[in-house]
Amino acid sequence: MQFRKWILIGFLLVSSWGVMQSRSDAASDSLKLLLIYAAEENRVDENVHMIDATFSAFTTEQRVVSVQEFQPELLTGTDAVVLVGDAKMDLPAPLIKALDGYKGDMIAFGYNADQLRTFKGWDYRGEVELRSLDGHSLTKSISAVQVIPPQGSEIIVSGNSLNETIPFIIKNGRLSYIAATSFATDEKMQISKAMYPILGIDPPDVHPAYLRLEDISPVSDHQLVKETGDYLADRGIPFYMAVIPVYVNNETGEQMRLSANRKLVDVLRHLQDRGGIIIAHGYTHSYRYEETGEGFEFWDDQLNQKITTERTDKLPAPLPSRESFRSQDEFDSFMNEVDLIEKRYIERKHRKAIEDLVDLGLIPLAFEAPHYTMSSTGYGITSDYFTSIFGQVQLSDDNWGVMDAPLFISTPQILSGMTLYPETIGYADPTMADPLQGARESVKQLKEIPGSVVGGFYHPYLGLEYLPEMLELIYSVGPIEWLDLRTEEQIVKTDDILIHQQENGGLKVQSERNYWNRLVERSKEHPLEGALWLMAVVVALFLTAFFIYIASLRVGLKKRLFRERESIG
Amino acid sequence: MANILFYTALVLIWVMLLYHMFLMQGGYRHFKTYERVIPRWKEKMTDLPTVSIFIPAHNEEVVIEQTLKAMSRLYYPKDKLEVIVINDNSSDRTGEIAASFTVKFPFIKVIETKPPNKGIGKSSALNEALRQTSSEVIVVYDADNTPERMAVWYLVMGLLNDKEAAAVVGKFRVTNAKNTWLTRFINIETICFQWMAQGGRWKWFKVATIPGTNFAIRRSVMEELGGWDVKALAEDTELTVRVYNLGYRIRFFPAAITWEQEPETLKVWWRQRTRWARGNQYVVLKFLSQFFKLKRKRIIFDLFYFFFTYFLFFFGVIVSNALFIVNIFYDLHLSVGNVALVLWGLALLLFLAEVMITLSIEKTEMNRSNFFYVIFMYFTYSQMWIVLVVYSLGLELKRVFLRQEVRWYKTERFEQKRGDVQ
Repeated sequence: MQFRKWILIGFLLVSSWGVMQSRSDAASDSLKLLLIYAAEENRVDENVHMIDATFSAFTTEQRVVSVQEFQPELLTGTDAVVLVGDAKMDLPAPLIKALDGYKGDMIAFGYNADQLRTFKGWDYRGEVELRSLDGHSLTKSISAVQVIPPQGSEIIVSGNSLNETIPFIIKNGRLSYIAATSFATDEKMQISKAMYPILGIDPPDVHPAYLRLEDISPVSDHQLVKETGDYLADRGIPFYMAVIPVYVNNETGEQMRLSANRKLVDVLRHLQDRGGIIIAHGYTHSYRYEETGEGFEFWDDQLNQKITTERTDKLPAPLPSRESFRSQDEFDSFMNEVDLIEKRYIERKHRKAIEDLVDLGLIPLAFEAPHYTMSSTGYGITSDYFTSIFGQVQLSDDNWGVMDAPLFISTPQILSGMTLYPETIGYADPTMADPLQGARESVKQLKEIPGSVVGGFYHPYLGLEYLPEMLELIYSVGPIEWLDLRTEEQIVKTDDILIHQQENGGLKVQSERNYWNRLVERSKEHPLEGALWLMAVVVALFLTAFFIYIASLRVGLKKRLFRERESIG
Repeated sequence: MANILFYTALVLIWVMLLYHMFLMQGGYRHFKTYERVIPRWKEKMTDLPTVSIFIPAHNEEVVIEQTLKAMSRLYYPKDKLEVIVINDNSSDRTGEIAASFTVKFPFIKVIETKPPNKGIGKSSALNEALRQTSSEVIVVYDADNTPERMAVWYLVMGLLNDKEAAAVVGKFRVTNAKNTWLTRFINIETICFQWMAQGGRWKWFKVATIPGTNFAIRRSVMEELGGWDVKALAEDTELTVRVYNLGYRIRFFPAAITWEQEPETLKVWWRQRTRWARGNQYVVLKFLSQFFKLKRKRIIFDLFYFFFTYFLFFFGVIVSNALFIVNIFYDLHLSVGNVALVLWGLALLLFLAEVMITLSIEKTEMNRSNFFYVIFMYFTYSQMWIVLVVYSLGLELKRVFLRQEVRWYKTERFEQKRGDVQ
């Protein structure tokens, strides 16, 4: 017995070795990092978010503070400091003093580094408009700080303006410098690739990869879902299924639940048994009466703002700006109220999505926001329910269009502890002349970046038409390791449900929900149906009484016959 | 749209089923309790009223003999009893047979209807007898009835002991139950009707319906009402409403038992039931139109019951069946969950349980063959009712729009092969 146990443990260790290997390549054993940013109004903008996200893939502990919030104690125990100069400003004296005395690694972005004594030997010369990086021309030119680093510095990436070449990513001993904070795709590629020399980490050989079957809703064709899922399972690929438990018909507003499509449920269970992993993709994938799959669920796209009301029959007022309030306090208390509404709404949706799926034996291990949209407060709420999230991250609370994803599996601060499995190559788009063109271009770039995630999705309604080609494309990136969430710890929970996926592959699902819970809940949503169930119970009670009457009449039959013979004579 | 229709149908059907469930409970309670009063009530049976038994007879030569035999054996002081055979325009030996009994039994009499009451129908015949007699209590029996010995005595007992009751109705049983599959069904149906509708309503609301036979009514009330309504096809239902409207009630006292013949062929059954359905529809329409003029609101409940049976429930069943059929060929996306299925199962069980209770009450009726007949009945006999209501509704509408005169149809009798009942 003991012997078999050891063999089992050994086997588990070997089988999970590959994944642990790739993770430990990316995240070094222990790297504590402090990110200090200087930005307009001290707000974390998309650049700071992306820098944070990218670094988080390599650190074990990471804090993000503004230059104003900085306290010298925060430096204690950190291995590195990242100073992001997104806005040009005079750094507070205590910060300068503390950083001047700091002996760890320091990585500076953009402005303000010239104010530190640490960068004394660096000759800062104002800004230049860069049109290409490392020989790749930029989609959009960027403004970069021109610096002449001290002798012996390593120029990791240089950029070109119209008439000169300047260093863009530089390393000199414990100091690194990146000449801009801009983090659009081209810069993201260059900086991500440079993370290894900057942090002094050996680049891994493999790319984590995943493929999601997207937007599976109660109206999905079960045969196509089965066909695509089986295709992946047949090849031993752990794949993902982004499932929406309720379909909303945008014309009638009527809802159809997943449980009404038994065949699809059976297919999903079958695929789950074959290695498919369920991702909760919202509850209805709509907020107002948009069609499921079309609508935004956690963002009001009509007003381009966070969810401010659960009433969907009419458009609410746009959120007022800070200027329309007399004080910050008034504004804050107003926003707190709005956040409460958003919280209630998102909580309800998560709870119901998880419950509906678990009730059907489909165990979600992660979340994916419809259209990847959600406010930062929304991510905070979501982190109470899930530990993993797929897709991209909305980086602004004012505009859903500002979204991106780092190229690595990471834990950006905005996701409040959730791990992000980034989507990096898009999907097969049949409306294009070459449906996989976008993916093809992304893969070409990802090839250059060690350890970058190759993550994409595929709509099962396309059947197998583009799936083999898409797989081939993913394999073309080089050695890959299919991401398997079942070999990492995941927790998905509501008040009544706890899903615990353990690293060793063990899965615990605890549900406090029983048939009665569900009945009561469904009754609240559909009062008429609830009333009918209540009636059924009453009728059942009467039926019981009736059958008792019949039995007692049968038993008393002889006695009665005798008595009546007497009375009638 | 389909959903709304479906739910409406479901609600209509279940209002009716729940009401019947409730009635069944009452009926069972009544069965358990109705005999308790008899020992006490017997004490009052000293100064008995005079009784006239009316037997309207139009060409009843097949059955009149056994009917009168049963009458001759009734337990009631003969000096206070007269049996009046109302020979209404018979062209057969009815009068002759009846006359032979008058010789042997002086309390049996035969009267002939006279114009304008002659040959018109049951109501006119009864009115004629009412005019020609003077007893305190009137008991009515159909010409095919063979009451048990104590029947009239119990009916009178009810009247003597219940001052509020203008009438007391007894229970009737089927003599030819085993003759055909149809009479088996009717037998089961009548047993159910009496214990659920009569017994249940009496227990809960002190309401019962005069069934046209085996009932006693006070002459004073009959005179106050001005006799029977000759236009009514269901003269019994019509009379019931008017009795309640006067402020009296009708007591259901199942101790008084009569046995009667039921149609043995579908054709006869169809004509009889069409008359009943049309008659009840007539009553509903007649009294619902003067809904607010009715003084006694208790009976409104009963009218509403008829309204439900012949209009709403019927509509619900039709819609629900139609949706079911359409849904087979075309998916209506009905958003009904398992609850509809569960309710359907419960409806069937409820039907079985209710029928089985009433059959068990009637001692020997709850046997194996009847058990299978009951299940079979649900899918056949019960469904025939739908067709019947459509048909009679059509006839009734035609009558209203074309201003037709009603023709009273007398139920055809069948010769008894098993001889006397008693």
